[in-house]
Amino acid sequence: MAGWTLPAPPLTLAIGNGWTGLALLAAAVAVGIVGFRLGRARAIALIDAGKQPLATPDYYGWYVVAWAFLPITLLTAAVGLFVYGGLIVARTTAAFIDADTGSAIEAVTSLSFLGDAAWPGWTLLAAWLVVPALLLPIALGRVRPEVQARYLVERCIYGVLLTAASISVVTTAAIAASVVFESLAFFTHPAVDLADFLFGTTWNPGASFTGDADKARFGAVPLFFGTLMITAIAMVVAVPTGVFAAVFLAEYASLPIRRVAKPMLEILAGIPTVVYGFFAAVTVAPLVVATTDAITAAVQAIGWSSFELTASFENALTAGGIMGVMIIPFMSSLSDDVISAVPQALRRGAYAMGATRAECITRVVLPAALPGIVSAFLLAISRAIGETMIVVMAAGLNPSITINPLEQVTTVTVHIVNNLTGDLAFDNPQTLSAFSLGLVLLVMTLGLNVVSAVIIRRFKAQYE
Amino acid sequence: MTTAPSNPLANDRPDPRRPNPAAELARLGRRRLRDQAFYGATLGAIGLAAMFIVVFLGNLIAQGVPALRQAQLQTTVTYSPQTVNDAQLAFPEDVRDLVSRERVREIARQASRVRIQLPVDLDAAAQRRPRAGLTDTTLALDDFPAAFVRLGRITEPVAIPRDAVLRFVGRPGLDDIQRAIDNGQTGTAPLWLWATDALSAYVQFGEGLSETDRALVASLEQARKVEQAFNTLDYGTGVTATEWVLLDDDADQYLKGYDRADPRTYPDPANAPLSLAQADRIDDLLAEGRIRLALNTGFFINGDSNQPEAAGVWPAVWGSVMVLTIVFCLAVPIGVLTSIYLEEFAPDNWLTRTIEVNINNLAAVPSILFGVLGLAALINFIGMPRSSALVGGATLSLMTLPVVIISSRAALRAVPDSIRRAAYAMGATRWQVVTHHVLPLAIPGIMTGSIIGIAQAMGETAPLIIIGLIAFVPDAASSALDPTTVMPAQVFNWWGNSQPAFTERAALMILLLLAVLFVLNGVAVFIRAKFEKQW
Repeated sequence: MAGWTLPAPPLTLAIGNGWTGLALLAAAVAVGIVGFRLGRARAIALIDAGKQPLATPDYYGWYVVAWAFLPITLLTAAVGLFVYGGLIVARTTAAFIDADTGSAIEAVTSLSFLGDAAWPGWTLLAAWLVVPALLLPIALGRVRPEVQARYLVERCIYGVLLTAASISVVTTAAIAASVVFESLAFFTHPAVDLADFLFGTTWNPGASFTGDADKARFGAVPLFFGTLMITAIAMVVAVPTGVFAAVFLAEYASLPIRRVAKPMLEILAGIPTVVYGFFAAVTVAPLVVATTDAITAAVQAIGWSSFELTASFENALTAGGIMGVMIIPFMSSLSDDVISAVPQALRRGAYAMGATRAECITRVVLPAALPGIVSAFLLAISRAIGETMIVVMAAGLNPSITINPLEQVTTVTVHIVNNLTGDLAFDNPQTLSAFSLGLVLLVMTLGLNVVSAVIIRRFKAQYE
Repeated sequence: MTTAPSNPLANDRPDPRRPNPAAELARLGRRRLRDQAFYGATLGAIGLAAMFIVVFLGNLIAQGVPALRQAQLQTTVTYSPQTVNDAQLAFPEDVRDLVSRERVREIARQASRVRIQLPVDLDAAAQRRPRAGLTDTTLALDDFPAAFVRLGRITEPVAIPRDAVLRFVGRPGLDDIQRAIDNGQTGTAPLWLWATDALSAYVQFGEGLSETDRALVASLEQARKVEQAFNTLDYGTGVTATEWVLLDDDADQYLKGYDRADPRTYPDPANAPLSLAQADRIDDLLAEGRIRLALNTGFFINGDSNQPEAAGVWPAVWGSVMVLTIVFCLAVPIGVLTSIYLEEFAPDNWLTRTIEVNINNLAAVPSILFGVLGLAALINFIGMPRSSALVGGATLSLMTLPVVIISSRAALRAVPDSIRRAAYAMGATRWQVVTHHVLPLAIPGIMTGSIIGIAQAMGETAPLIIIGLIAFVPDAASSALDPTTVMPAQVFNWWGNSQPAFTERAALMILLLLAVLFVLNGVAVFIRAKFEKQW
């Protein structure tokens, strides 16, 4: 449940008839431009009159704009905080209150002004035109030589910059909030059990859709297992290739070759994942199937008639292998950086002891760069766990626990996509399960990222 | 080992640590071999990557390029009242089964858009909204008197839940009610109301409705009957013209010489896409010169279709343009402002550190979680329209933000401090220092980072699938609030379709996407090389 049945969201209708809104906003911008020009003109007039204002004319122009628009900006921010803050509080409570009583929904709808979608939107838009226009004369009156126009303007600029910077904080918080709240709704659902989710081996959420909520099982272990298996295959491909490629770039390649080889690896990084997925599903998977069939035929021809190797068209090997290729540039560019950061003195020392190039690299350079490579490895794992399109297209949906890489497995990301793209209602545990899978994904990737950041910081501290 | 030589210069005695010069030489040889092998391994890794790129691109080109050509057939087309009711009749019998079904529908579409007949209580409607006009679907809903409504020209009323059918009434339909009231009609009148785009699309293409609505229509066996409810257009006695028309995708694939489309080489001829007779007929028509493989211009200008031969990329390209414009307008300014704050203004306190940690975390969050955010926060909480370019652009902006911030910060940091100090010495304020001096010098770096961020956003698919940007879009969206799709999502959509002709088109779409990405990255590299200063 989790309050998906909220009153009509305010923004929809505020922007609903977009042209009127745009016209009002354009009028507000026009007021701003007029204010700027008038303020500037007044300041220039002051200078012409022989006065010495404390700021340049442009600053007086901006000063007028700031004076006219600051109150309405603050008001809008306050209203926004109130409306959306109220919604957030309502949803938070809704997530905690028992679904069956419906009391949470009532509590939410009792914030009835939220239902009147026109109120915040239109009134505010109109106020954006009226309030600055009214304030404009007062602001113009304040264009005087002794007014320090710069302070107010710079203060406003600081506020704008800080607001922009806090958007990333809000985004992170919103991602965490959106998965946490829905996960709470998921785990408090009668058909769901937290222990079963973490340790259960049967993933069959479909039953909750058909009405057999009792038979629905949300044991996510097969999804975790499939994710780890595909990640492991990807790492088997990406780590040796990536590290060796990085060694080549950092230690062997001459500058002209490096200029060709590095962008070539970056091409791999720039290919959209859906393209990798397409290639995996359309080209590689049939190839894998044909190869296993050929192997089976060959071995049976030799005489081992019971031998049989069959591959599913959606298999872990294809998905993992192609994902590995996708991660090669990631691995190689990070490793390249850390290998290049190893001080030259270490190499010279090794050569002075008579080491060959390979010995110098394997016994001196790579061990010195190991923390950085491990950090790159962890980031690559985090990348692989969160990768979606390749597994959606090439790994399949079957939640099975198998160590045979030629069979179908499925991953956390596949089921997030699968459970959020149907026509299911949002109070359905199957839909909600996607959010708790998202929570798991978020925790895993952020954890890996933090560990990796700590390791790389230590590495840098060692050599810088 | 215990008796070390007393005189290190005496070389004639055998050194116990170097017992055998020959063995030592062999060991050296092995070391050199290992050295070479290691070098070979690193070279192999690079070679492997290069080989993959060659195979990968070669394979995609081999798959996609055939889609640049499309089979066409020269035939007579008859436009007459009969062909409106049964568009198949427009074509001569011998080619009827080879012509693209999309072309058949096109003729039907010339007749009319879809309308629904519903009995409307006009008095109630007029009372409810005497002047302002019926602008709200929910209001109109109350004005329909019965739970029994009639769809199309079916004589028997069909029991459909009223509000279910109301989902099929489009906005122009409400205007029809208003017009009837304005014209002075009263009482309960059966009105022909314009259907929603979704229902029209369903009738014309078999797609466009949600799963439940489609089930509703299908279960009532309405689809075929509604289709016949077109208003007829007067063609008089009929017109016959000779035209080149699209050939069906199976025939197209056969002409391109794929074994999988040829009934003669198909493993199970009975289930082959074409029958042997059809294949022979195609060969004959080809010999007559009535079939040709022409440049597939439709691919670039058409909308999506459930018939591969008629499907095109234009709505997806347009959707990508809209989404990326929004990303550019949101992510770049916010990202640049953030990096200016962090590099030039921020005091070293907990807030700044929180912001910095957050940006690094945001860069590491898997893209799919941005889709989850878009669904939970932007669609369900703020109320942006699902599947729209607006929500897609907003979601991808949040995803691109860290990329822009990190590269802009690097660009700002690269501007030497002497420039700032010189500006401060002249009495400039902080903002003047930034806008007059630092920012202009950092613009190339910021542009490069922004373009790379945009390129990344352009190829992103997973979050867009979750927020519904995989809509079936026969016509390019007219605004950022309408359902749309984007290029990578269209690839995913077509890939999910089993017909080989769709796979071929998906591959061509990928080539188009890769070409655009290549150009974008090329521009970024060019800007960096041309304008970036090394201090």
